[in-house]
Amino acid sequence: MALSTSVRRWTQRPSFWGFLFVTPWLIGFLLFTAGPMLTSLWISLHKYDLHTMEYVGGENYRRLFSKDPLFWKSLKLTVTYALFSVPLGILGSLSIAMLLNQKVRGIPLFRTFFYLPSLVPAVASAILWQWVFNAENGALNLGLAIFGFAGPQWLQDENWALPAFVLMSLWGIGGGRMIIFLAGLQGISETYYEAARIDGASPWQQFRRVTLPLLSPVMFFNLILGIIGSFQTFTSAYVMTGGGPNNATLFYALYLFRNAFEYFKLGKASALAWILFVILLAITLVQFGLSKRWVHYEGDSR
Amino acid sequence: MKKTYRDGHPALRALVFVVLLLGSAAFIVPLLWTLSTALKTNEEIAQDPTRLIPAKPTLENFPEAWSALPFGTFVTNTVFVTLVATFGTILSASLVAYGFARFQFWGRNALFYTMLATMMLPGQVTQIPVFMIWRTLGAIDTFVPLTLPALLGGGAFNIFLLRQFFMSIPRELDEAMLLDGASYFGIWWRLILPLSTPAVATIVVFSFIGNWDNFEGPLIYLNSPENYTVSIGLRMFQDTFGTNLGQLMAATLVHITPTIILFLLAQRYFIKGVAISGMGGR
Amino acid sequence: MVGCRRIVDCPPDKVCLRYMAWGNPEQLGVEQEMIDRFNGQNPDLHVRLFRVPGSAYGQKMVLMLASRTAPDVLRVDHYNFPALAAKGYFQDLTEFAKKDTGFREGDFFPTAIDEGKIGDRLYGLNALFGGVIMYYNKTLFKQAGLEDPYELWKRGEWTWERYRQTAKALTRFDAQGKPRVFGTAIPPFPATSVAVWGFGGDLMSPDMKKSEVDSDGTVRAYQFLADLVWKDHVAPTPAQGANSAFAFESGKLGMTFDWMGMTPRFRKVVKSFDWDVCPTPKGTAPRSNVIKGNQLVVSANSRHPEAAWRFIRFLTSEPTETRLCAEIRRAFPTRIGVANSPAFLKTDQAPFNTRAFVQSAEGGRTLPINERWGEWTQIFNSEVDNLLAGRERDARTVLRRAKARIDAALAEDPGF
Repeated sequence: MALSTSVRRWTQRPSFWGFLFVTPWLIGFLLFTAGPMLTSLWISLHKYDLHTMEYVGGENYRRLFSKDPLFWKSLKLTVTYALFSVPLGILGSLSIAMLLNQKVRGIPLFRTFFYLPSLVPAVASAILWQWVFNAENGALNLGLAIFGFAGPQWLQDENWALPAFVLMSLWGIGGGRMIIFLAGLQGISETYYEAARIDGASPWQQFRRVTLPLLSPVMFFNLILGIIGSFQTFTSAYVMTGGGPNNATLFYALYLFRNAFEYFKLGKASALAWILFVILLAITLVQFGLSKRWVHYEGDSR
Repeated sequence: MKKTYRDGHPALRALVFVVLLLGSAAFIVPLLWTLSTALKTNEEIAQDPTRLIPAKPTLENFPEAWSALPFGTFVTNTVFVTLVATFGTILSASLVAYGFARFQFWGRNALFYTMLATMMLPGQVTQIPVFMIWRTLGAIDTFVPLTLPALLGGGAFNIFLLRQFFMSIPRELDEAMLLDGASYFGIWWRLILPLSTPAVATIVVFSFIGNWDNFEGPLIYLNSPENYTVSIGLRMFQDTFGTNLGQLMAATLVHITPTIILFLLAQRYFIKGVAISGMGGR
Repeated sequence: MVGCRRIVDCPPDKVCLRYMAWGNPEQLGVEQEMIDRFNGQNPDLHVRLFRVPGSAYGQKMVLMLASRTAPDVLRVDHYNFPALAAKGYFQDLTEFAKKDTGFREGDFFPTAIDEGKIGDRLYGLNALFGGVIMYYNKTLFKQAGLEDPYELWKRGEWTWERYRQTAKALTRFDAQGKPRVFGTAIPPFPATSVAVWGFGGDLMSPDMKKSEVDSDGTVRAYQFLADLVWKDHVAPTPAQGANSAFAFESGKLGMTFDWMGMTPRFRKVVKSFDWDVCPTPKGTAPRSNVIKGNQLVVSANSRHPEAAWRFIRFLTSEPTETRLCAEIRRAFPTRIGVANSPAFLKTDQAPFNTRAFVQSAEGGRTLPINERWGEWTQIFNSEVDNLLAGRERDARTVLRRAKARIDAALAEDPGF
């Protein structure tokens, strides 16, 4: 009797339910994610080529930091890429989302057109982009020529290859991030704008006082995911430039992949992975700390 | 371009329309090239790859691509995996996100950050250990590794996104329902989900497209050609001795058509949530 | 229920083997044809083909080998062969070869057999063997009034300098100075080794512990190649050549060095001009052509190594090679007999200079491939790319730097 009462008391606590709802994820995590993550940390403390394994402690990390110029080059260019593509991407996708939030004839069709580039699978996309960036007769340089500019060599030029990738990332501003912003915009009730208009707010003030704050949870999401995603850029570099020219597009994830699957230096690759992990974790924690100042959750009064 | 017009101002609406038109044109150009390549013969692709309008348009690439590989089987497999994974993702991700968004429990923040952290470790180094786990479970060459994770949360990305949306829904609505005697499940099913239609539609679109286009997963876990998905089939057109561009583009176009249709259909769910407004002025 | 489908594909009374190879749909169709023939001739065995997309083959193969789920028979690219063999992934085939009375090493080209050996143990049988050969556009040659290069080669006059002169005569620019036809193109690595060896240089020391890329011959070779692009303007720059703008099949390229296995593709795609093949230019060293194959191996975790050996023997047998190499021309035969057979030498469609294939193979050397190949070639190519892309003009400086970096990497403990 006492058992069923205490059970009933447990099931009446909201925290029990909250935990219960989270368990599907927790099970999956414990079964499939936690082990492999810890395994890779373990491997990073070893020399491992899929055949022999030898404990070396922090040697992989020490060598990366002190004896590997490619590590620093790769990290630096990946950070540069993130610094440009993330803010530009958020700005761009927000603008397009606002554009596509209008009540205009055929808006579903327009939204589809903007989203189309994101629907093309990676391989076809890479071939497409190689054509766009073709220095002689690619779409981009032809377009620039119309305005009288001589376009650079893009993917064959050490200084322009990374900017090319930033440009390419902007093509995705009609993509996933935009959709998320759009969903967010759609979730802002009209009554807020009406109230603001009644108070005499201009469109810009409406944007600043209503749209931005109510959009902030979604903006925060795009920011975090944007940073994580940009640091993990891989497929486009692998297919289009192979890291060149002269390692100008040797993205961190590509360098990691090479060490793992082409050189079989799995200890080093795992160390690279965990260094990235720590960097991303640090950035995310900082963002979460800062978010208390500018992210506004309507439904969270705590 | 940060305007927030609602109705009215026909001149400005026309301006918006023009901008939309120009923007669409710019974004659609690469796809037009895909279409034009798909309609070219292989000789023409070799001779003049950058020309937009084919000199001798042909439809031969489409049936050739279809018959070169058992695409019928591939499509069936892809549809199965995609539907199961998408459906599973919506159910489990929204449930987990609900837990994170609405409840306080011991270890909540730690678990949430851990969940986010799983997105921060590049997948290449966990690929082999994860593969070994599935192998121990005897799930290699089945669809289980591609579908079961969807039921176990559906991925940190989706959970995080839904959590953000759920936290934007005013708590007063929950409390009102609780006072009426609703269970937490009931609140989830009858309040949170319906109010999050745009977010859920977003997840459906992402999940569908993600699974439809997924290449790494099927590559690693599927061995028998009877189990292959369309994305693997597409990759076969690219080989070491030169890509058969015409067939690749034709197959690509057919492959993305369902996703385009889905996207168009999903648009009607991107409607404004009706009763989100606060009870009483804010 | 959630997708727990397992394909049961093995007839109960047979021993089942799985075979993994890469190829586009057409090439895999041919593989399947071979398999059907084998299954028909060997009723106690049943082979199933694993098709894996070529671009993801390496990753899938490594994953399967590392997890011991690899198919019984695999085709392994020779670039990866030594590294993977060193990890104990493959069966030692020496005993099978000894016991097999029908198998005689003398039937094969020495280079083909040696490639499959690690030390003196046999780990793989060579398939998709071949080398670099020069494809040339006969129509363009005729239009420029040039003599056929194969005739020149037979007379011993097809030297590197002659090659350069020919490229100059073939290159044409239009009125605005934009290129219409290029005489030749710089081949990708490692086909450039033809030039390196031709000029008397080398890539690696014989023990493969130090690189020789700064030797005089190598420097001369790379300077020659770079000058073709940047001084003589007879080969496209990387920007000009991007997106296959001057690919051989476009008819805008006079001569190109490529693998022998490209023949079926050119046969299919080239319709607007005549073409043929000819060995690469004669250099100062007696053997300077590149030859390379791919190894058929039996995975160490196979449960039927004997049966797998029978299958590999079939794939390298005379009838199979005749079909693959003589009829379809996807590769060059590893068997001396097939290479000199009428089936291989007689042909009714381009390329007609079939003996050139044999002469190229006989004049060929294998590349210095060992476990560190992936690492040092990555360094080498990223340096040489500076030269060939025109960012630097002096080959010696670039190659000296490359040597320093390669030697430093090779001296390091490979695990790091």
